[in-house]
Amino acid sequence: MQLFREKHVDYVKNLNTKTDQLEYWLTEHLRLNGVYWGLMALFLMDSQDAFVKEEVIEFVLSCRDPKRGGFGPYPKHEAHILSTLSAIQILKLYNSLDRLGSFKPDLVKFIKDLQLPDGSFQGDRFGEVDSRFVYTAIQCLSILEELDENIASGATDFVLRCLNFDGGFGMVPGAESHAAQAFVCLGTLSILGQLDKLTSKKELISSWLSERQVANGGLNGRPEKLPDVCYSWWVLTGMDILGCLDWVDHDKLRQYILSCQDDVTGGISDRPDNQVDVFHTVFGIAGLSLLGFEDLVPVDASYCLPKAVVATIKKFPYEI
Amino acid sequence: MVCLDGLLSIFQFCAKREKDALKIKNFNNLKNAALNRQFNETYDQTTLDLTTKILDISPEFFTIWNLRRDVFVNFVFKGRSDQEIHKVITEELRFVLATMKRFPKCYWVWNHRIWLLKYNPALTDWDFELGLIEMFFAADPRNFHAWQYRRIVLEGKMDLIRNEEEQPAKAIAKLNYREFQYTTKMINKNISNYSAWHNRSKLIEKLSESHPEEAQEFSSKYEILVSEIKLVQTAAFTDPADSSVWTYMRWLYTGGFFTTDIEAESFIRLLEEQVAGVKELAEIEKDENGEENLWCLKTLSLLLKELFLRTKEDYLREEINDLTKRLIELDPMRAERYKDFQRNI
Repeated sequence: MQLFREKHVDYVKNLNTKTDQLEYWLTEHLRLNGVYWGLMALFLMDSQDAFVKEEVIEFVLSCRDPKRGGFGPYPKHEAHILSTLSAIQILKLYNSLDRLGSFKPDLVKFIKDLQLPDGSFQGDRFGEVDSRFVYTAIQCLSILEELDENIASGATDFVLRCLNFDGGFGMVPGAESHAAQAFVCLGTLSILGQLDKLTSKKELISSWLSERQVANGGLNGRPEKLPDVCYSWWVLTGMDILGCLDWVDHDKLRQYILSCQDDVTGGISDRPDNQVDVFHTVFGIAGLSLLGFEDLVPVDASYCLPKAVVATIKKFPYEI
Repeated sequence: MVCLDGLLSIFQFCAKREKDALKIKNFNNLKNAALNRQFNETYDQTTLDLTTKILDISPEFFTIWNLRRDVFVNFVFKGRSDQEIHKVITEELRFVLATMKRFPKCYWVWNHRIWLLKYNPALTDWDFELGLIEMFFAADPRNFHAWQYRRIVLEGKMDLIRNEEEQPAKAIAKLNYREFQYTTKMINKNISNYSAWHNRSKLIEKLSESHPEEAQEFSSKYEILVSEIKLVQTAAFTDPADSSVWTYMRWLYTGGFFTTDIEAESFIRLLEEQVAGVKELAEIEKDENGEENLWCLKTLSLLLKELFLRTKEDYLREEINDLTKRLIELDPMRAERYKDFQRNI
């Protein structure tokens, strides 16, 4: 089987035309994230022109929450760190961070103010803490080149406390290991240049990640759970960051991802024959890119942006 | 027939579209009204009612949860006594519970409930929440959110103890021990409840620092290890195919938590006993199933490595090399991992 490239491009291109479906309106809270997922899938297939750049940028800017300084997932929705990262990633993909203009200081303040005394970040002003938000905030500040020693050491300490007995990472210290959390915790340490803090645990973490591959080649998120295409990304990235990408079978995983494509509508689903969505589409494609298959644009495991884009971000710790 | 079927499905499709169009109109009207009220900071009963209607349709709409909390703080709670506020919160918890039952994996709903519990923790009925978790576990004993919620509820209970009790450390240790026993109960019910094994590892770390008097198995790290080995050994023989047990066993022998405080000789003896135990199980498995149990082999190679690092006996290295060869053959997906393992000894 092969990648249905053109079908996937069409699928992503048509996502915004489904306004007669109830589901479209019930997913507004994820719209900006969805735009990033779609755009990133297009970038990886070198088909970014399928979206109109200026329209997308205008939409991103219209999602700004003037009261909080960050971005909501849709105009008039409240700012959250998750949608804020999507906004920044889209602007970075388009090399258009300058469009933030005078909004930038408030945006940076919004993100920095979410950090709590224990180094973690809350998602918005209501206090939900999750290592996902730490990663999201750190990536935002990294792209904006606004990290500092204080923020970095707090985030590092918190993320290290999320490491569990089995070599996986949890949502917060004490929480059970989950592959998505391995991605965000390892991604945070990688962006902050702190991977050496894990040296003694590297073998254990890598083993846990490699155990995620099940007999049919797919990867699951937790022991004894079903495989799902999106874990191709959450698990593989951790392995790439730790330098053990070859600890799972690439060909079998490729087959699994390709078997989750819809050959009629385009798009990729979580498991074969399920309904496709843009989330699984981008992470399936990104997984294939990370493995070097299908002649895709190379992706960076820590940022989920093209390597060429990441190369333009100033590395932390910054040289004075 | 085929034509008729096709025609019918077209009718159904059109009917759904029409119904959808109506639902969309209704939802968008509610949404626009609520978002305008949020923008203008109009916190009143009408806004509250709007949020109820919207969240009933779309519990993922986090902006509306935020608006709902704003209405509580700036309108509903204003000028009310603690007891009156508590009554409102209790009622709100019922609303949240109904939503949770319909959407047990929605982060925002759990989050809203936690916000309510923490609003005035002294008045919160934390034990009621523990009872609620049982209900979620009955439906799915590995519901991630429910386990996390359980830890948050216990943290809430412990914060109260810290504020109210004269000897908080003792009461907290007791509570931790009760949680530890709870994981034993969950594991005995179903050995492959990985979430329970995980929580157990966390509680052991806490209890080894401070434990109640009746918890004799916590008198030393050696005692803890011996009693955990007994549990995991039984579990491994009960369900040798389940990964939970093997992951836990790996932690006991290689995680570094026990090794640091146990005398080298005693630890070597425990390792040797375990090697013998796993070898025996591997044989039984091979006889019964006609094929190797990979978990036995993987665990064996890890145990042998620990033993080799302590005794430097050459025959152990040879055994490890043989095991690695077999693992590469039987589990080719992870071949490179086994090669790296062998190289790094």
